[in-house]
Amino acid sequence: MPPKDSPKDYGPHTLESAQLISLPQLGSDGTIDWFAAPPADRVTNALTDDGPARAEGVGGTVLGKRKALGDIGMAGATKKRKTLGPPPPRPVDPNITSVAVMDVGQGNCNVLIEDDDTPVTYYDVGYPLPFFVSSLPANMRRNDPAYLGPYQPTSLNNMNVVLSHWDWDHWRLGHVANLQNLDWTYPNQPVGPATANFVNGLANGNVYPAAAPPGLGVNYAIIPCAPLPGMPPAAIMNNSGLALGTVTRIPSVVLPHPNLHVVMLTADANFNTLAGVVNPAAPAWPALVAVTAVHHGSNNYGAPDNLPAPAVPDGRIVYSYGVSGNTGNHPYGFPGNVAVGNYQAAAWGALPANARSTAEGPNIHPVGAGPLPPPPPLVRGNVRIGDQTPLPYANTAFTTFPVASRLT
Amino acid sequence: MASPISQPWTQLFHGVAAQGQAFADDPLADDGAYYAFLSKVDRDDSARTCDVLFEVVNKAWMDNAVFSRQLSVPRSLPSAPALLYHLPAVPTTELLAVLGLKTTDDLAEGSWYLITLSKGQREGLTAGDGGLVGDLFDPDIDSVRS
Repeated sequence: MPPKDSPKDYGPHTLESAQLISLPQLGSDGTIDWFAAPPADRVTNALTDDGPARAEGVGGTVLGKRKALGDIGMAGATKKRKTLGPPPPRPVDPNITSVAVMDVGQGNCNVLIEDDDTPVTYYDVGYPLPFFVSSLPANMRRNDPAYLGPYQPTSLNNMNVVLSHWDWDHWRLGHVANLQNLDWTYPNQPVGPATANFVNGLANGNVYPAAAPPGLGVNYAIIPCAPLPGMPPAAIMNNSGLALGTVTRIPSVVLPHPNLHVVMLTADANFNTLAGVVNPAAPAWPALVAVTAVHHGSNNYGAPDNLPAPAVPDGRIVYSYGVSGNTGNHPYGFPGNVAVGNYQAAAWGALPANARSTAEGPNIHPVGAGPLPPPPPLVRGNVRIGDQTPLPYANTAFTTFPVASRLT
Repeated sequence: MASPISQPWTQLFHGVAAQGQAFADDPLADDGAYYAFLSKVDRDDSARTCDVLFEVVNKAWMDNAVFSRQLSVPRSLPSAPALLYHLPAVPTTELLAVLGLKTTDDLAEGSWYLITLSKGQREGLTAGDGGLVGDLFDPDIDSVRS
């Protein structure tokens, strides 16, 4: 669906009342009921039927409404739906020589780059909410004359997108930059009506089944995430999507196999929700050298806990977050001081040597650790892990990597 | 030679097509009632605030297009006149009170609510009186070129 010609801002509105219809809940067997009835002992405003249950069609009752939402409210229920089958035989694939964490303000967008300096895969294509657009660099603000945007599909139309989960700041660049014609792989999670409009417009959308084991792409592995027993409803969405792992070569790292340096990207999912991870200290993936901080460096719901151990004395870590260009504030308080401290304690990024951020380069200021500097950040930009050979693409905000933001 | 399409036939299906057009032209609800999908929640515990994004649809549209079906047939959601309602940095305790939740553990992305919005901000609102003010807008305001 193309953007409207004259989208409107209807201005301030007061939230007068709210009644909860459905609440995602995790069963004891690990299954997620996305449209469960709200527990009466925890919710005071649940929507109830007005008088005796009447059949005004399927959705006439509250129960009917939940059922109707369950039928049509999942990303996998969109018009063009293809559920992935067994992966094809793996071809001899070129190496991924670098992994980029793009500066998209308060959002997430990562790119895998092959050895011929070709970007091949997006992991997330995020964009901030309009309220936080000042956290974007000018060349990524759609309404700025300096806008360049991501790689242009006309020159790189074979890129694919692997989406971690359906949070707005992880997919919205797909709409802003018209990336609907790329091949998308995404988890089957509930989506709202605005997101559903976007999903319906995907030319080639592929649902990654929730119960499927990790699968192999050409240059990466998709690792499904599953909420852990006891995780509250508030943690389910972030921890029920897809993580992505790849192998590259980081020049300064010395490991037995020089071309087998694992980079793990989890977006907002905790490390111990990845399939096959029983003991994060001894993960199913050896040679782990670089990660992105869980949930932009969040302190909440176990995000900075149960961290894997790097295979090197000081693992590389990148924080993807935004800083308001107007106030210097950090949207949502990312990264949190507890998170940064936990990562450092787990040997991920002793500042400033091997930690980078999209918003502040190596000069990461965790929220809660003291006063924040005023805007604008002195160093910001796309972060690149691994090979730093310049990319031969013009007219894109995703081709330049400041020297201070490189991890080699 | 094919028979020309009859005028009543044409008028009938123009009428069918026009039923949804009113919602596309004006997605606002006259009575302020919307079905709201809790799309994004982020807590800033250092500030004791929450940032919340709802994807909302006019209740009347949803009742007609989604909830009035006579059969339970799995199908995709039709293109919806969706809006976004964003509550930036609102006090967590006040938000929980309005939503009827006892804990932030149940402030869950993926929840559906029936909400009522009124235009503007009424003076003197306090917690429990629905004193939270957010911005209601078309999602595509982020896609307008300069």
